[in-house]
Formats: sequence, structure tokens, C-alpha cells
Amino acid sequence: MPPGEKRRGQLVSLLSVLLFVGGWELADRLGWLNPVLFSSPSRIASTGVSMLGSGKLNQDLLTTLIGFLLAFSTATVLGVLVGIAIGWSTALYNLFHPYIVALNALPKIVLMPLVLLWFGLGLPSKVFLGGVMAGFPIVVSTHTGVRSLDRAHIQLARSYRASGWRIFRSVILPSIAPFVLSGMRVGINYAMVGVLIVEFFASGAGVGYRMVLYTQNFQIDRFFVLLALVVAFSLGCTGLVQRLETRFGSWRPAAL
Amino acid sequence: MCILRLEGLSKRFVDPRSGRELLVLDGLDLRVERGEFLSIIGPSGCGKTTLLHILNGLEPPSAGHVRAPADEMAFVFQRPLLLPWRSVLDNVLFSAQCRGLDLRPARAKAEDLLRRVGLADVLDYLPHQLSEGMKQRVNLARALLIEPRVLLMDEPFAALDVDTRAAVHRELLELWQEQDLTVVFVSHNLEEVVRLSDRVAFLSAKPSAVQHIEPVDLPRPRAADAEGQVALVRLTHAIADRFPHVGP
Repeated sequence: MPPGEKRRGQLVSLLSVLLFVGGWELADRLGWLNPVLFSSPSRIASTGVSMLGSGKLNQDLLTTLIGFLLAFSTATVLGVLVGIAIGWSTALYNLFHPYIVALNALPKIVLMPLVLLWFGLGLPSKVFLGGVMAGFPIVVSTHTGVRSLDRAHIQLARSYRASGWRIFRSVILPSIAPFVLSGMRVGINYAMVGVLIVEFFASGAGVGYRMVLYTQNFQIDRFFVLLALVVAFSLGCTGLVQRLETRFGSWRPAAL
Repeated sequence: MCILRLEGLSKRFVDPRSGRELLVLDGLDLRVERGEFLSIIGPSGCGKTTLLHILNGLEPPSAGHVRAPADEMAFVFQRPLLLPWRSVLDNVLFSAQCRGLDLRPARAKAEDLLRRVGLADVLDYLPHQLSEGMKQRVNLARALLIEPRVLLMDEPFAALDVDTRAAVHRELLELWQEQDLTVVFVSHNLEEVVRLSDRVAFLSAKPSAVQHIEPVDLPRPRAADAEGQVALVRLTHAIADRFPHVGP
């Protein structure tokens, strides 16, 4: 896309957001929105400043952050290992394939009652559900990455008597990195959903727990502050991984 | 002095579809002298690539003996096989990294080799920005970086147009003549092997063995002028008449 066209596209997007926020604010000021059910941008901003300033939110933010990080990193490590294993060995693929297909087809959210039964309230449930939800896209895209590896490159390395570690580091890892990263980018949102769902229903702390509490108490401004924080956090993480994708995937013809 | 020696070499495969055993190479004998440029030519599918793989230790023979300086050989594959995420320079350095060589002197040597094949200006280009001819030059530089005693080449220039091919031939011959290098060159293009080689080994159809070895007694540089061109073409056709299954 030529730079001028891209600039214009970004301008339209920005204008759209400004119009939406302005329209929302205006509708609220004109009294078209029920203030018990809807907040407004200005009230979200001022409530946000006071909530974050008081430090009362810190514990809940930390609780959710820890749950997310554990779920996501577990999903990444296990997802990449499983993806490589089933991509590499046909036997392992045949062995694991049925379960992966079945579990992938399952809306993971229905596991919730079982997860609570197995792991109880709190962190282990979050890590399990968030991890399972984030793990699948990572397994699937790592597997795709390993399948699309050019085996002739490995033969090339072998012809120069490369060690197994050298082949992994210099051929396999760079080949699959863009795939792993795109799986991780999708996984971020899934891990967040898993953690928040558990907090909605089975937790005494955390952002999800607070969101439910605030809506039950009709503190709708506070609910929207947390919503904005979740969106901002997910956008930040996704953006970070996207930059890594560009950094390690720009050689792919599809990315050009 | 003989640097490579094959005696009674046989190779069988099991055809994955029919499950039947397939004899590809059948009692093949070959000696390659140190410093010579030997080409192997034969009908397609006769096991030329398999022969090179066995020479390089990428595949074991089913029977027979191979004597080769295993760790002093480099393989130039038919496809350039550049790592698409690496720059030209880093692709050349790949061979040295695989061998575990010290990268600092290797880098200077890689830059020198790339200059020799006319790629000094594109050191930081990515493979997708290169033409086929440039890719094969990187492929060649990568193989020569580890200073092999034997260079095994598997139809490396088949995909190049005539002019590019002639230029790469010149560069290859220059590098070969400067170094203590033995080349085993597989091709199905008779004109190409006559232009390059000291000797040409003809393989029979599958199951293959060496059918005949033809010395090429043309002075070098070959085809340097019109007279040389004519001599080259004439010899090529004379050989082609005797081995009609190969063709010029």
C-alpha cells in the first residue's frame, strides 16, 4: 500500500473513533442514555484516574496479571512442544490428532464446571482454563510451521555436518518462529478470556471478580474502567507480539 | 593421486508405493584424481543425485566401498537452498557455522568470495531479492567458504539462462583453478560438461554403472574465442553421436 493511502486509512480510523467517543459523550450529556446502565467517556476517565490513583485496584490487577502470565506462558511452552512433536513425528501426530481435533472443536468454556470441580477456586483453575484456551491456537500454528519447514534445508545443514542443536537453532527455530508468534498473538486473547471467566464465577479477587461486583452494585463507571484496562492490556500485548512477528517474519513472501 | 574412490557401489531403495525393491546403482566403480574436474552424466532418473549423496555421506550405500575425505567435502545442491531469513552474507556464513568454524576470519573470506562472484554490492540483501543466477552464486560461495578439498555439485546451473550460466561457469573454473580443489559435477547437459570437465563419466540407465569415461582434451580456457566455440560444439556433437541417450 502506498504511504499516502495508508496515512489516509489511519486518519479515517482515528476519525471514526473520535466520532464514536464524542457521540457517546454527547448522547450521555443530552440525557439519551440511562446513567445506571451506560457510563460516558468523561466519567470513565475521571473514575479511572481516581481508582488507579487510590491504589485500591492494585491487588486485583496483580491477581489477574499473575493468572494471565502463568496461563499464557504455560500455553506457550506446552503448545510449542506439542506442535513441534506432532509436526515432526507422524506417529505422534496420529496418536494425538483425534484429541486435538475433538478438544479444538469444543467451546472450552463448557469445561468450566469441571475445571472448578478439579481445581477449585482461584489460580489453578485460571491457569488451566486460560492455558487450555490459549494452547490450541499455539499448537495448531506451530504444527503448521513445522509442516511447512523445507526439509532440504535440514539436509543442507547435515551436508555441512551441523550438530542437532545447530540445526534446531539456525534452521528449525527461525523457520517456525513466525508461525509460533502468530499463534501466540491469537493465544493472548484466549488466555485473557479464560482467566476472566474463572474470575467471574469462581474467585474472590481479580479484575473479573470486580467487574461482576461493580455491575451488581450498579457501579457502571467502575465496570467500564476495568473494561478499558482489559482492552488496553490486550492491545498492548498483541501489539508487542505483532512487532516480534514483523521482526522475525518479514522474510516470508506472504508478509511482503 | 586418487582422492575419491568407489568400488562395486550398489544402492537399493524400497519403492514406498509398490513396496518393491528398486536397484538404482549396480556395482559402480569410479576413481577421481585429486584436482580434477570430473563430470557425471546420464539419463534422468539414473541415480546421479543418489551417487552424490552417498559420496557425501548423506545416505549409506547398500553394498560396496566408498573412500572419500568425508569432512572435507562440500555439497552444492540443485536448488540454491538459501535460508530466506538470512542475508546473502549470513547465508554464505551458514556453512562455516555448521562446521563450527571461527566466524571472524570466515566473514572476511565470505566477503571476498562474494566479491569474486560479483555480489559485493548485495551482501545484506535477502534471498527473495536475488535472481536465480545470484542465488546459485551464493550457493557456490557458501560451499567454497569451508575450503573443501572436494566440491560435489548436483546440476547446480540447470535453472539458469544461457548467459548467466556461461558467467557462472567462468567464475567456477577460476575458483577451481586457483585452489587445490576437486570437482565432481553432475549434469544432464553434455555441452556444459564438455565445457567444464577434464573427464566425463557416462552412467547407463537404471540400474546404473559407469558405462564409459571420456577425457576432454580441449585446451583451457575453452570457448574463449570463435575458434574455441567451434571446437567445443564439434566435440560435443561427436560425443553425442556416440552416446545418443544423453544428447547435446
